[in-house]
Amino acid sequence: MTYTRHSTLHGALAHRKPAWGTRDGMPVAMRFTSNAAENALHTSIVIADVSFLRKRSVKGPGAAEWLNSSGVQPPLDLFAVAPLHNNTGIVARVGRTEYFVESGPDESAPIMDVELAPSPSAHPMERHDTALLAVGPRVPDLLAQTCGLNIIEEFPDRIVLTRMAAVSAMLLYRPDTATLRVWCDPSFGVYLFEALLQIAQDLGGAAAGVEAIEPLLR
Amino acid sequence: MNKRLAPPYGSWIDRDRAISFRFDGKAHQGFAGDTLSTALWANGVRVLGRSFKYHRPRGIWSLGDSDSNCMVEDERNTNLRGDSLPIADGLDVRAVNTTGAAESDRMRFFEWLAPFMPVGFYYKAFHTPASLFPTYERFIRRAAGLGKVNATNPMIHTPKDYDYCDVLVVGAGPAGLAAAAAAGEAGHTVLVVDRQPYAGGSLWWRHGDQSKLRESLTQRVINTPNMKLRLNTTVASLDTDNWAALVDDTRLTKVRAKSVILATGAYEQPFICRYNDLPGVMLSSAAVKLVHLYGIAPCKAAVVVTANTDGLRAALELHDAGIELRGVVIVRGAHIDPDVVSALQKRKISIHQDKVVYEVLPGPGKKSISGVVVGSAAPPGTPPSLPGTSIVCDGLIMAAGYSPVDELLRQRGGSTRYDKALQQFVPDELPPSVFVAGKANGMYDLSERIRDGETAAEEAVAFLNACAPSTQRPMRPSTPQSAAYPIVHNAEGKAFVDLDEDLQVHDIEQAVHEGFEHAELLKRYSTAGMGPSQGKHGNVAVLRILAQCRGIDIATLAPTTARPYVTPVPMSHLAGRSFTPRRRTAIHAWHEAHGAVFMDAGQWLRPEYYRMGGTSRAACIEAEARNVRTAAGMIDLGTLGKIEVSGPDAVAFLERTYTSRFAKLAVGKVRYAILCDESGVLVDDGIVARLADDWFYLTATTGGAAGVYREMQRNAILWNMNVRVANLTSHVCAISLAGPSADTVLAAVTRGPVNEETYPRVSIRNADVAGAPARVMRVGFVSETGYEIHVPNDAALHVWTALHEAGASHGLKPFGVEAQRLLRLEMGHIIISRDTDALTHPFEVNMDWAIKLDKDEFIGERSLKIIHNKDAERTLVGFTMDASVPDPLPEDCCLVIRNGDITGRVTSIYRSPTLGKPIGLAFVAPDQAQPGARFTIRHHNGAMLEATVTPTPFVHTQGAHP
Repeated sequence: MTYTRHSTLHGALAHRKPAWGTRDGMPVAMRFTSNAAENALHTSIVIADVSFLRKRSVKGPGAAEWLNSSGVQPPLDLFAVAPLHNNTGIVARVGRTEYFVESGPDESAPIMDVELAPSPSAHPMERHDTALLAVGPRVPDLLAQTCGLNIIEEFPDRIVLTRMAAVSAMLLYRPDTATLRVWCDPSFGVYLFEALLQIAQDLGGAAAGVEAIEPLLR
Repeated sequence: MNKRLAPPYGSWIDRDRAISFRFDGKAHQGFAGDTLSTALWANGVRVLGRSFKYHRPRGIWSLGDSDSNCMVEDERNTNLRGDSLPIADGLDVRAVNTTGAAESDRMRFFEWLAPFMPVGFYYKAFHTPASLFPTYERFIRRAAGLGKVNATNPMIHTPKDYDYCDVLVVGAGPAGLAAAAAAGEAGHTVLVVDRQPYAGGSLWWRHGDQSKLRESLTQRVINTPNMKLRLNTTVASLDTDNWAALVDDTRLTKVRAKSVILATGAYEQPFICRYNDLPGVMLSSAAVKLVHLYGIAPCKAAVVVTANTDGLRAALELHDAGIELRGVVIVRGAHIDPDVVSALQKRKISIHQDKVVYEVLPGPGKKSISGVVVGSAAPPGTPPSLPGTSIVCDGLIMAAGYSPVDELLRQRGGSTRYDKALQQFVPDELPPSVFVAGKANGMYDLSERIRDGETAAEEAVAFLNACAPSTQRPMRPSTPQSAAYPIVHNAEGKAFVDLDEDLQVHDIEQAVHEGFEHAELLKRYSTAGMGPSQGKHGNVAVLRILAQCRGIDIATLAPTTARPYVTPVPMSHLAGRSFTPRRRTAIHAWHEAHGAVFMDAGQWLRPEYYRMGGTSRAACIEAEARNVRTAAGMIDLGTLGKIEVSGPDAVAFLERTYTSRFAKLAVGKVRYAILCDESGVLVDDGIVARLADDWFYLTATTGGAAGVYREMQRNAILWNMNVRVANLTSHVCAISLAGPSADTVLAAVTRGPVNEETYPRVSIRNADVAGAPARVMRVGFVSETGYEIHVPNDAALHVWTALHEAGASHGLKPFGVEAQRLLRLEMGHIIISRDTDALTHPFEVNMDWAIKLDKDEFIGERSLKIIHNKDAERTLVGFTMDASVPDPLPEDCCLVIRNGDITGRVTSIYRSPTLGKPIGLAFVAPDQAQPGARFTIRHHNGAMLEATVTPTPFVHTQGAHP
């Protein structure tokens, strides 16, 4: 495979004229021209596209075994999240018989190279969800305006399948880094990014490049 | 003018900050902290608005945002309430429902027509002739009503949000603050909400100087951890599970509380007598608020009429503030504090014990009052015996009692009952997580209200901790705080029960006599409580009159339903940010950059066509279609539904889902398949490709994808089949490459030859396309030579761009949805939901070949067998029209007419660039379906046009569905 990967937000980011870099075969916005993001990170909120992280999911009664055979130890609890071996990403249990895996920023998790053929009891697939990261002291305000669940208080470190700004989304709030991860159907990616960014800007926030937030992904 | 009482009166205004504003075109000045009503009153303006029906002058009445006497509008907003609208520099408003200014409203003659407008007059007068009703309606709407909505207002986005707490305390008066502090100190998260700009409630204006208590309670709340205090905020509704809607100037907040304490206070109730609505007549709470909060004398010379000690205290405070007190009328049965009476007597204020105010004497133009008539009370329902004693005054201050602010409680499912000891309604049954405290709970003594609040908090904490509370609530007082029947009948009328709707005592009596004896019916017939203030000061009086007319105990009556919202909520607050999700494919930005004109396809945005210089839409579409026929075109099919099915039962699952068979479908082959519902109606279609023995890849229509996937998931469980269904719709992007040069273009970006042998018809192959892993299907929807290239979503833009570049020298161009629709019509292919409707079954659209009635059970099988044995009522046919038929062509849904009867309709029609004449699909009667048969289409402009039944495909005899 020698193709150039593109985030569904590529066009939306290009309008903002970022300095581009490359992560895992995908052009990513490293930083934007103003230093608004740098300031907003500490005072308000920034939102960054992290769709370059590769993703997969597997469903079926044999999903956990399929992951085990691929070298991944999935969490036992429903909606729990666990790190992949050597901190190469995360694995989350998103349903009774369904799991979601995302590679880390530094190196692609080995499971991303496993052949995607279904077994009689497990069906793996490549995922291309738009993946966002929001961080900053106004994250609670962003959530308050877009999501009807009290995620910060009720579901820290848990996967939450819910609605955000009127679209289905998968959320994960990490209290240790005060970061919010958002995954959504890629066809809604531009809409959700712009809706969240509009709110973030109303809160004094900005779009951030990967450079500013990459350490938070580790 | 802006006259004020000297400090300490006027605690809410900042005398150092003068504010200029305009009302009804006139300039005025007030102070920061004033509301529109108070600033106008300070400027000597007494007519703040006009009544809804009779256009009577109205002034300050409740000053509690619970009447509609002062409602104004500006260029953008309407029905703003003057009692709560803060003045600001540049504020320029006018009274609603007036012709000219409120002071000189030209519609004031309507009052003369009052005798001809009894209760329900419009039901009685305007039903015949029916043809005139629109005229009546226009006249009534012009003559009566509220403000006008400015339809040109821009859309306002507001930051609607959510919040959460353990305990929501509604009301930051003494009981509310005490409750909040107690709940917070017990370790719970507490949200306290009050619609006033300051916490403290009546501690600001009742009970003498309570500044220390107010400050200590407020500080106790503020200093409690996990406490939020939201002022200038109204709880507009309280729903199941304690969902509360909080409204402030900027937004609506949806709060979910684990428990709620309602310390909402009570609405003061008026006495009802002749002319009790005129400017100068007001509730005692309004009068003391004017004095204490805004430093304004409500009048120069006042008479106070009261049924409780609060009224007497108000009289004392008015006197001490310098207002001449001409008399205090204490109604019969009032339980009052003798110390306060003594204090009044010491000030040589004349007290009229066991008397009533018969009537208010109007001033000039009824824009003020000139006095009141005081006399002995008559039995309820009978006019007073005159003459009484006239007292000259310009203000009547009324304190007839209280009614709890219980709308939220009743919205939440709680109930109230009439307490005869208190002569008012009190909370009765409460939902488990809801508690009521303070005046809302029928408590009036200040220290008892604070204790009641703290005990309510204990109960809430006990509820949250699932244990029993340890403290008993204080007892309600056993003496009434309200007059049992504060209504003085007067044969001359104009004794107003509901100021919103100009409803008088005799209107309510008349409605009851006409048979509207149930409170809810009476409300709807008389419109009592249906105005902007929702009967906050009139509903109890209506029940008292109803009970008196029917000769029953008021305790047997229940208040009418309390519906959200308690106060008006701007539409922009409800809309919030108006989230409108749109779906875009991975190639959207490319389309945008290349001139695509987008169209809506459900939530998707799809290129309808690509703009070419100054060329018209039709010419662009025609050029795109011609290019596919002569060279090659490509279209973004990212919106197409894409589903994988795997597992040991995959074949059985698909055979039960679709109407076709798949057991013998070879690996690497694809088959067109249709989906029906249980009634045999055609609901979707697509391709089924076999990737392995128990692994299939399916497509569904753009509009049907989500529904098909959902139904498959449901059925997999319902049928207990060992299959997995995965929705790849947005994770895989598809590109359709079509036209005579398609082979060549594909060959340029993939390895190995592209021909009939490597990519046979109706096959699927894994391939490397421009470096990306792809599933390539040889199918022909818009052209005999066509490929669908399915690639990972993150590869879509790369592959699309590579194809575009590789195909440029072969004439490859993108085409949009409109060209696709035209091209597939030339191929004779239908589009589900365009060429079918909610009743179309496969036999009507000539898809008998796709229905395997002899196989095992499948969705729609039983219905299709029945339908199959019946004569068809309509048939979809291809048709052509003469090339000379001018544009515009008939539209979809133009009717097929035979001898004046409808026999069918057009479902698709285009002018074919290939054939140079109109082609289309239409439902016709079965006997009109023979090739060569002629039928008539009624053009939407009325012309009758001839069409000829023509076999499909129109442009070729081969290349039908795989």
